[in-house]
Amino acid sequence: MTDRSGFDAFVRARGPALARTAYLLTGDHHLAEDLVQAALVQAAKHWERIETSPEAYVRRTMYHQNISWWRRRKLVETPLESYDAPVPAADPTIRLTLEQALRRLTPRQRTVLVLRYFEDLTEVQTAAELGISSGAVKSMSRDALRRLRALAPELADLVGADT
Amino acid sequence: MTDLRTSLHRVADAVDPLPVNDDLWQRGVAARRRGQALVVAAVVAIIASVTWSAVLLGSDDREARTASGEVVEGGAIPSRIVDPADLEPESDLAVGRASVAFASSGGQAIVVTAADGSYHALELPDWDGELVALSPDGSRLAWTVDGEVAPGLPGRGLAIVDLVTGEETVHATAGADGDFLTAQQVSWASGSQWLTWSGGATVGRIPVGSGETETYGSQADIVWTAIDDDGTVTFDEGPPQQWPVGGTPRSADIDGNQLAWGGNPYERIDGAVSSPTGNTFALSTSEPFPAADFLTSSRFEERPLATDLYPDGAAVRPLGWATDTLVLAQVDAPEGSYVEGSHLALFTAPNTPEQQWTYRVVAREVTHQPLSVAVDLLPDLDDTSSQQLTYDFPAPPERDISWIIGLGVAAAIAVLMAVRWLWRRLLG
Repeated sequence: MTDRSGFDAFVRARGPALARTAYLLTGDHHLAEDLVQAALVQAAKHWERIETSPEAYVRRTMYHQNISWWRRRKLVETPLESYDAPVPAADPTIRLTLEQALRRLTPRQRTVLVLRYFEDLTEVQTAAELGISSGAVKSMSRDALRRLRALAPELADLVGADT
Repeated sequence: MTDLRTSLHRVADAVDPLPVNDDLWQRGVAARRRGQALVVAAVVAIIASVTWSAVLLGSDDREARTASGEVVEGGAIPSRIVDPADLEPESDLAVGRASVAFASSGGQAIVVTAADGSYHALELPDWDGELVALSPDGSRLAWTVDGEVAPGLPGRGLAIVDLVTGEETVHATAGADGDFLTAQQVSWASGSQWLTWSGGATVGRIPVGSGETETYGSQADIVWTAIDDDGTVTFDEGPPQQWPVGGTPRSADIDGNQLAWGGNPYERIDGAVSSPTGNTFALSTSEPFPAADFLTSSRFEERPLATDLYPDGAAVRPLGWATDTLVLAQVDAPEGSYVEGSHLALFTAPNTPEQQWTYRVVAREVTHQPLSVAVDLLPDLDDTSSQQLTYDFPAPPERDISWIIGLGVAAAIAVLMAVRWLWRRLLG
């Protein structure tokens, strides 16, 4: 298998899964698309040395790229006062409420939640992926859940007590 | 937390498949090539800059290092005289008129050519590594020889080379008993046509270009000797003696006055240079003293150094006479002086009324190695010349290893980059 065909096969096989993670990380279809494409370009650039395990590389790239993009967009973030206000309870389903609440977490908090509860990584594994300490993962995770409860009280059962 | 996990999967599963562009691979490959090109360009730039620096520092061609490429008409004394790094020895001694000569700390005979200020390490035949003496006009260089002084005759002597033509003569230095001596002191006449030397209790006189040597054996060791433009040698033998051409030595008679001798008051004196007319002698000291010493008008005189310049005195080593009243000297001043360390100064001799005395530092950055300077290169000092007393030639390569460090750093960077590339290649 040539490098090019191997890359194409990887994109075909794992593209949808990567897209799901990217959407959870960004909360936006367009940003998710950009995030996946940027990570795949990086993968193509370094394919020779990552072809044995490209998915781990692409995922790690997405996590870091998302936080990096957020830093650049930070200046236009919503002020914190309104940021923590509860989401209007107009959405009929839990899924939509969760989606809206997730969008209002910081990318770091969202990324930690995605790694911990979607990718099923342990605290130690999450810390290694993000290049931070386990303690930081634990506190970010706790803050994220607390904020989810504040943003959407109806999700209290979903996210449990103060963990 | 299972509910949150399930809900997250539901949210993710509801996402429509995202479009993926077909050109991702091409974009990645293009980015990789750009990165490789940048790395190659950076390495080439580092190697080129380090190589250029090394070539620049190691080049013998001073013109290439001269910002302006300017050559001084008639030559000049450089404003900086440094002890250079080891230079490539040159066997062709016809380098042209020189401004400065000295034995470097690395044991090389260095001459600085007058026109362009470039440094040359000359391979002087049979040089014993001790004395080099440049004539006041900068056209001839004398050095002490330990080798063949005549065809098939090994011994000690003085060699003189014409730096313009490369023509060389060797003069044996021997005492009255015929034993060879090493010249301990050499002094040129202001007109560059005579040379005197002393070694042990013998003093010698050489008319330049004649191939002859005339010697006189004294009763005591001779510490200093000087010669004027008439060839008259003045040397210390207890009281100073004068030895005219065609005559025998007698007590010094300077300006018609017999020297009033009361013992040598200046045991610190270890050299002398005669003024062009031979009526004043600038004397050399190697230890700091509050005055410059002279022998003039039948007496020794101390010409005080300004205490605001040299609160603890200075060692003054006269190099030659710019005029009948102005002396150029290499001055070595202790810490705390206005100008510390070795420098060149031009000052009035005490054969001038004190109210006309001047003192001028003409070069501040000067090696501690004993220098020999072509004083004729100083411009006319009657205020009709616009030429500076010294010329700011670019500095020669000093004794340092910065370029080696630079090459080492470049090599280390290259090795690290290669290791990093291999590491990433092998471990993914």
